[in-house]
Amino acid sequence: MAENASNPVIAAADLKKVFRDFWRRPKVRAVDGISFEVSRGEVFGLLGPNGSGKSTTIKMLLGLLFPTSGRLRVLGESPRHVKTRSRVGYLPEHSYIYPHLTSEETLDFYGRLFDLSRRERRRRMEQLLEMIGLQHARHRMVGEFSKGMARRIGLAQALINDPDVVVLDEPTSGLDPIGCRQVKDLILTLARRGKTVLMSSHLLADVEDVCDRIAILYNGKIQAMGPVRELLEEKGRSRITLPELSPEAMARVLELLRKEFGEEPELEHPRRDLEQFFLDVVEKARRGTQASPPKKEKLAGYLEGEDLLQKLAAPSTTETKREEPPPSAPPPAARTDARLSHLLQNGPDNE
Amino acid sequence: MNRVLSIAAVTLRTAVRSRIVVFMMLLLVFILTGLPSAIRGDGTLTGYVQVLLSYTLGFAGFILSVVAVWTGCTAVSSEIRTHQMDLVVTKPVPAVQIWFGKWLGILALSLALLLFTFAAAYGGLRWAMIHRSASEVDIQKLREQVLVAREKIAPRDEGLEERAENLYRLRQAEGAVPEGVAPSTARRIIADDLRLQANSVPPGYGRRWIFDFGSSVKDRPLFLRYTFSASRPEIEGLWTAGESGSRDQAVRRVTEASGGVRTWRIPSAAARDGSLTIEFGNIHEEPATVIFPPENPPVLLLYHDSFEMNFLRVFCIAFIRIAVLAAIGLTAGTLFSEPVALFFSAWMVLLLNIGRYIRAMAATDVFFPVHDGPARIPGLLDRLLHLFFAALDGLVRPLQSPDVLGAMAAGEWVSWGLVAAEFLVKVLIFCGLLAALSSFVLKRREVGLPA
Ligand SMILES: Nc1ncnc2c1ncn2[C@@H]1O[C@H](COP(=O)(O)OP(=O)(O)OP(=O)(O)O)[C@@H](O)[C@H]1O
Ligand SMILES: [Mg+2]
Repeated sequence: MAENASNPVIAAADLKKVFRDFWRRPKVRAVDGISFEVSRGEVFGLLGPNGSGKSTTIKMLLGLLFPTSGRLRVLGESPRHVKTRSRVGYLPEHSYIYPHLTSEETLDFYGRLFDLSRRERRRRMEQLLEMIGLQHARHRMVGEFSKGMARRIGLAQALINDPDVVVLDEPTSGLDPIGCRQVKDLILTLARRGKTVLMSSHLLADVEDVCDRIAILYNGKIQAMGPVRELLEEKGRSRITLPELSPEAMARVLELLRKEFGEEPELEHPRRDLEQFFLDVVEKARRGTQASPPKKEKLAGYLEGEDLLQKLAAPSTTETKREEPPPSAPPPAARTDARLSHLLQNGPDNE
Repeated sequence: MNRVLSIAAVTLRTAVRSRIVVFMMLLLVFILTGLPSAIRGDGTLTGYVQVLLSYTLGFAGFILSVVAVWTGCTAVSSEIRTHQMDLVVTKPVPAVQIWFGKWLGILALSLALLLFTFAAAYGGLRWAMIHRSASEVDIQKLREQVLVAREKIAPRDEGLEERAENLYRLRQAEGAVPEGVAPSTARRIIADDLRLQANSVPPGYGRRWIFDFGSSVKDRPLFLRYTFSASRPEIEGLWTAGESGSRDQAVRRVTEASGGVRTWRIPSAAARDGSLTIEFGNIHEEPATVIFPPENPPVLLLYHDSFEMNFLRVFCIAFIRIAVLAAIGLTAGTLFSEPVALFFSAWMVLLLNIGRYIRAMAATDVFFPVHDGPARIPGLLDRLLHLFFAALDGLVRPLQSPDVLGAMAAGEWVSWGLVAAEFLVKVLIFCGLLAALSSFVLKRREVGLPA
């Protein structure tokens, strides 16, 4: 099948995987007839409880496992095609990297497997090390790394080839909240550049933040699939967010609503999520300990398409119907939250 | 190529950093220093050097080949077990490049260790020559018979086969071949008999051999190496070499014990125009027959080139052997899971080391002979066993190499031709086949499965 802009980047049809024992008797039906398509620029999430078949599906997408039946196409080709592999990035569930190599050597090795030139490898390595915040550990053996550090190196190797399709198996597992935020920003940036991302996760909040569409797996079958917004929308209910009102104004509003619906509306104060709160606290602590202005964790330039920017005045990213602003500037909500936490920390006497 | 080299580099780096190399080097030093002192030679410098060249290098080479098989086995299979291979096969690297990358990495490691071993052995040899006390004779023997590369010349064919054939025809015409004896058996019996007759020297008789070597002898002495058996413990004989009656004819009268290998140093003057005639006369007083074993006739050794060149060629052959073992291990590692691969390669190493016995088994027709009954006719089981061993022999024989260390320690020439043949058969053909097989399998293996 020729690659075409309108064709899905990943297409699975009635995909099955049965694990057999030594005597070839069926043992586990890990994936049981799933079908889905992911198109260019989309972020697709695979959700499901432990053992539901997420990793098995991902391994089939990479040609590490062969489907028992069904059809699977990545970029219009079989996943086992060598050409396909040069355009795919993969972060496995666990960090399967060589413990006896340093961070630099690790990235250089995988870069060489993609036949990148020495200059290009150096450039990308520098940017990736900066992005994952491991410049200080560039000469340390990967085997000595903490789980999160190894995870970061794993992520960096998945991106060394500036892949068109990125497959991430639980990308945020083992990462601290800052790392999680970065990974999510990264995923959004990649998608904006027209890259396709397929990820699995247990962390529903993460999935909700970045995925355009999700599929929920249970027992190897897709139980629900669709755009996140649609799946989560509670049809027939609305929420109005207002600034703090004076008691009289509030009474009037409630009175009006009661009259309109004949039913008592729920009233509560919106809460920030813990993630944003954590990020603000850490940011503040860092500002306190560092004399120099804090360095913003930067995405690797080549992943943001800086080459493209240099070549074309206006980069033609595929239109995304996404409301999220670029991750380099914190979203407005986050900014408000930052102000709030600031207030909270300084006590009420400030206001 | 970039990919192959990077995989090789990582393999090598992992081996070096996991300290296996340091451990191996310590072990090798231990072998190289310990073994020559532990093995008692005949106390001479020559004996010491020979032990160093054959046993010590042989043992070190064995250790290195075990290491090569073992690293080969684990290179792929353990990476599949730990899933490090997942991140390699998901990159655009053809399976054959993975195999070659791993192989090159192991070869680089083995090359370094082998160089170290041979360099240490050569250093030890030079050191011994300076620091060990030795007699003049001993030193001369070492220089002329060990630290050289001498070509081995067999005596000229005497047309025994043809004579045996004629005799067989004659006997058959006479009706002297009994009924029911297979022609091949009858021929063999007649030929054996003729050969034995030709090599038996009764009292008062002589035996003559002609050696052709074409080339000049470069003013170096020649050496005749022979062995014989006799009906008495000691035999008196007269050896002559060269044109009889000539001034340059070499003559030697000896009283020698039966059995054992002897050498006679013949001045180069005796040999001219590319051939040399040597005669043995049985001049023992009391009647005693001397027999030169037909399967092991006297040979003439003549200088070919330097010991150092021989050393280099032996090094090449040793390296080729290690390369083959690494390829076997690597292939086992891509075909099977780690424990199975280790088991399989251990078997392969064993088979290669008992090639001689396999050959003997392959030549057997009847496997369970009844000793005091009539000869058994080969049955189905015998035929199956015979087939099995013949197949095994066919598999193992191309991989056998001649005992080059022993040859080197005996001052025998190991030719570049042999090196080239070993390279062609073992590296190009055999390793090439293994690479093809491995990449075929690796491409079809579900790497994501737990081992
Ligand atoms: N090699 C295998 N042999 C047998 N069964 C397997 C194998 N690999 C996975 N399974 C089974 O397949 C099912 C799906 O496993 P999978 O790893 O895809 O789950 P998952 O959704 O990724 O779970 P988790 O959230 O824990 O990562 C499980 O029941 C698992 O036991
Ligand atoms: Mg999983």
